[in-house]
Amino acid sequence: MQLTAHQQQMLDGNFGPAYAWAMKFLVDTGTVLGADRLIPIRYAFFMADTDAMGEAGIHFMEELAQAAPEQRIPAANLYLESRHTARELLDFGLPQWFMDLDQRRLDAIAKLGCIMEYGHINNHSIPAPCFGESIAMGSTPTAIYANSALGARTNFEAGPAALASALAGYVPRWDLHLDENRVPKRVFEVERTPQNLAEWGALGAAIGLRLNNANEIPLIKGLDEHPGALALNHIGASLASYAAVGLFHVEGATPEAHLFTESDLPTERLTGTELDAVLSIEKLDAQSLDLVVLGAPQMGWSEVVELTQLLDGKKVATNTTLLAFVDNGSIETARTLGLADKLEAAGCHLLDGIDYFQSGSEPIRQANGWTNTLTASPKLGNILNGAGYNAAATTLAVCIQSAIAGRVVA
Amino acid sequence: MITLKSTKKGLGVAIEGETLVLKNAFSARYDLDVKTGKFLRPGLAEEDASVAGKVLVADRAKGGVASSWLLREMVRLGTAPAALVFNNAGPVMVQAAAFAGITLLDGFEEDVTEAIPNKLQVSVDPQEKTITPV
Repeated sequence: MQLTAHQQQMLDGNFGPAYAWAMKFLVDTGTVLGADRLIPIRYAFFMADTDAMGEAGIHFMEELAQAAPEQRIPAANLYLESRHTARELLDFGLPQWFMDLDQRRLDAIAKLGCIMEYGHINNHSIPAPCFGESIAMGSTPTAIYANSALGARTNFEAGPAALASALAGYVPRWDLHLDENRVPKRVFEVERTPQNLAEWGALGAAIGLRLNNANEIPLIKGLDEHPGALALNHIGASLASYAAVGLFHVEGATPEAHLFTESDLPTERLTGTELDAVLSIEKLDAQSLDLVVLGAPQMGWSEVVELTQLLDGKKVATNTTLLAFVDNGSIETARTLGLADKLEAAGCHLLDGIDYFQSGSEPIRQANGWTNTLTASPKLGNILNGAGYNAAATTLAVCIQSAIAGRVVA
Repeated sequence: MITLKSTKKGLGVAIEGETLVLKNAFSARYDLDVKTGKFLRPGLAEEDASVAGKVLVADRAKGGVASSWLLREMVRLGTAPAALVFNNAGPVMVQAAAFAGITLLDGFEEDVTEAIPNKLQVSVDPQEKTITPV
C-alpha cells in the first residue's frame, strides 16, 4: 500500500502510540484486503458495545486513552453507535458488574475524543454522509444503509477499525469505495411488496438466505411503492445480518439502482412464501411465551404510536415480559403526550439504551430462565437463536397479541 | 490432503493445530459462547465442539461487526481459535484477526471446507500462504 510521508510518520510512531496503532491497523488490514492507498475521511461511526468488548476490549480502550491528550485527537468526527446500556435491565437480572464495565467503556471512549451524542445525523454542523462520500461506518445496519440509501461509500469498519480510521483520518481504499465493486451480482423480482416493518426485514433476510457470499450485491425489483427510509433501514439490517453484504440496490428507490436497469443478469423471483417462512412462528406455536423484545433497529416514533394502539386497554400476561428499546427522544415525547403512561400501565417496559442483544442478553436469559421469545426484528431473532434463546420473528401485531395471551398465537 | 496455497498474504504468525471445519458461514457473535468457545447455535458443528485452540475452517464470515472485540476477549479467556482459514473472510473477519492477533488465511483456488478434513493436525503459515498436514 502506498503511504504519504505524513501517513508513514504516523506509522513510525512520530505522533505517539495511539496514532501509530491506528495507522498500523489500517495498513495491516488494508494490505490483506487489497487496498492500494488510504483515502481521507471526515466521519466515522464506532461500534463498541460492552457485550462484545468484554474486559479485553475495554482494557484496550483504557490503555489507548492514556496517551497524552494531544496524541489522541481524532482527525475525523467520531460518533458512537453503542450508547449506554439501559439501567432498568438491572431489574431484569443484568449483573452489576456489566453496568460497571459499561461505565468504564463510556469513560474510555469519551477520553478518545468521541462525540457522545446520538442524534447527530440531522445536525447542521455535522451533515449526514452524502452521495459518493467515503466514510467509515462501524455498525452493520448503518454501513449498509449509508451505502445503499445514501450512496455514500463505506466498507464495514468494524469495532476498532472505525476508531483507527477516525484517529488517523483515513480509511483503506478498496471494495465498496470503488464504483466497479458496487455493481449488482444478483437481481431479485419481489412477488409481494411487504406491508409492515417486520416484512421489510423479512425481505432482507430472505434475500440474504439466497446469497452465497458477501460480494453478491442484490438489486431488488418489483416493489409497488417506495419503501421509505425506515423500510430501507430494516431491509439493510436483515440483509447484512444474514449475508454480511454491505450494499443493496432497490429499483426506483436507491440512488445507484438506475445505473443497472439494463443489467443482463437473470432475474430471480422472490416469493411471498419466502417472506412468510422468515416470519414463521410455527416452532413456537401455542407455547408459553417468556419474552417479547422489540428494537434492532431501535423503535422509532411511528412504532411507539403503533405499539400504544395495539396495547390500548390490554395488559401483558404475567408470565411474559415485554421490552421495547426506543430512542431517548421518542420516549421523552411519549411521556409528554401520555403514551408512555399507557404503555407502562399495560406492562410494556420502555428502555432507553443500546439494543437488547448488546445489553447482556445472555446473563439476563440465565437470570430469568427465559427461552421462548418473539421479536418483530428478523435480525434480532437471528442473533438470539445463537445466544441460547428459542426465538422467532413475526409482525409487531402478532408479538403483542402473544404477549397479551402469554403464549404464542398466530 | 496436500498443501493448499492461498492467493493472498495472510495475517499473524505460523501456528500448528487441529482443524475444525464448518460447512456454513461463521460469526463469533451469532454462533458462539465466548466464555467456552462452544457453539450456542445448534447444527453448525458437532455437539460440544469448541473453537478453542483450533484451526477454524469456514466458507466465509457472516454478519456481526462485533467480531474484533469478541475474538480479542476470547484470546484473553483462552477460548479463541488458534487460526482462521476462510474461502472468503471478508473485511470484518480480517479486522478481527488483526485486532485479536489471530493467524488468518483466506482466498484459495479450492473450497477449503471440502479440501481440508475435520480434526486433522495442520500447520498454517500466513507468510508462505500455506496450510500443510503435519
